[in-house]
Amino acid sequence: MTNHGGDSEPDSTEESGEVELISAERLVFFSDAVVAIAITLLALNLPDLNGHSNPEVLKSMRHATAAYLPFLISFVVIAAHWRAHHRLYQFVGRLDSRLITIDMVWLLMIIITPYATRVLSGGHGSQGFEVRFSFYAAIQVITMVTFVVMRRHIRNGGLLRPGAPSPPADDISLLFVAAAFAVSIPIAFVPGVGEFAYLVWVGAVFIVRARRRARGY
Amino acid sequence: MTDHTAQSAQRTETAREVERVAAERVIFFSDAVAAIAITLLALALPVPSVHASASNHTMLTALYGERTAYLPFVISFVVIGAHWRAHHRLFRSIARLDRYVIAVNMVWLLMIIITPYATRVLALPGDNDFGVRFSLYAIIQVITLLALWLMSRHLRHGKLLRAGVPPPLTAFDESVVLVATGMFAISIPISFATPWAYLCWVASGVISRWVRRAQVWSGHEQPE
Repeated sequence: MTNHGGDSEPDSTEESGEVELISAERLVFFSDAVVAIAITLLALNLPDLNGHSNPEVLKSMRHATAAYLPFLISFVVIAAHWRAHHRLYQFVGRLDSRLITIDMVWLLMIIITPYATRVLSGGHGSQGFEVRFSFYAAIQVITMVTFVVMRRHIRNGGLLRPGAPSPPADDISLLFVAAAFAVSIPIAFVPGVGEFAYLVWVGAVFIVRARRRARGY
Repeated sequence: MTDHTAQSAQRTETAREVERVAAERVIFFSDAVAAIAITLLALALPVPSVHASASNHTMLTALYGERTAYLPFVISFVVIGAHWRAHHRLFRSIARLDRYVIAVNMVWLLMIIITPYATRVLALPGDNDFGVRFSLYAIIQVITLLALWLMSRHLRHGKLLRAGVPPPLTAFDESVVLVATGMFAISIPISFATPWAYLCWVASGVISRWVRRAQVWSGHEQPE
């Protein structure tokens, strides 16, 4: 196969630039579709309510609260991952094989998140909480670290669209949130405090938001 | 007269644009189908059912007990991911599609759509029917790869590519696809003797990667 990047004809270069761009768009479209489906599938985990009277239905809703919280967390989590992905790929002009591979790993984590949500909400009773929580947190850590790797590769691998501004390189914030999710895992195992490990996630997100706002991102 | 030429040039340009948009729609449709299929794989993952007094240890044991379901999930993620990547590469310099490609693409899509089902079948417990469950999966992969091979051959010989852009898959790439197809086909009789037939699939992926990397190194091929 001839190396079409080295073709000297001007309009052929333009054509191949367009081919590269469309090729990148397809990866973005594919990723968007996966994320959209994953975030929608979250609702499949919501439990059916049963009962023959209003008080009974309300009672079964109360029993289902254990499933509502993980659902909402995962909605916010997947939406946040997607927004970051969306912001990053605005600047991408072409792909290489490694970028597709890294994106696939990121997508695998997104795909597992609805499953991790099901594991987190568990069945009746919230026993085995520590393991369920850790599984979920570990998936999020991998997603965020993968994203940082992806962003660095795009920035350093010359994959940006020519003339486009460089994507905001706030790796510290994301790594901080990833670290907070990692730290929440041992906290979940501390007797008496474990149930509050969720607060580490919330805290980390608020700190990063405050930092971003202060820096004007 | 020049006016007329300009008008017909305009018309050709519009026709080309229409064809390109039509081709893009087929591609986006395929992307959406592949995205849904790959995401649905996770629906089949079993949540370990533990009773209310279960400890973390019981939970871990229960998770370990479900390992036979996790392996097919990971395999299918890699498989659909690889099929999509090949499809992505095949259509990167498309200018228009014809009925033949659209029809073969539909076969490709059908196989992608039933892969999550084949994954569930593969993940079923039991050893006595392993050969049949494994073969169903392998046959689907053989058909998917053959569909890709047919589309690639047609694109290389037809006039469906953008002018000035080389064909996405060379004749050599196509023979690599055939080798991968062969490995899946060979795994079928082997699966009736031993579950190690999975190794054929691993070999199929490894060989394709090696060949591709060797090509990139020797400068015959641009990286993806």
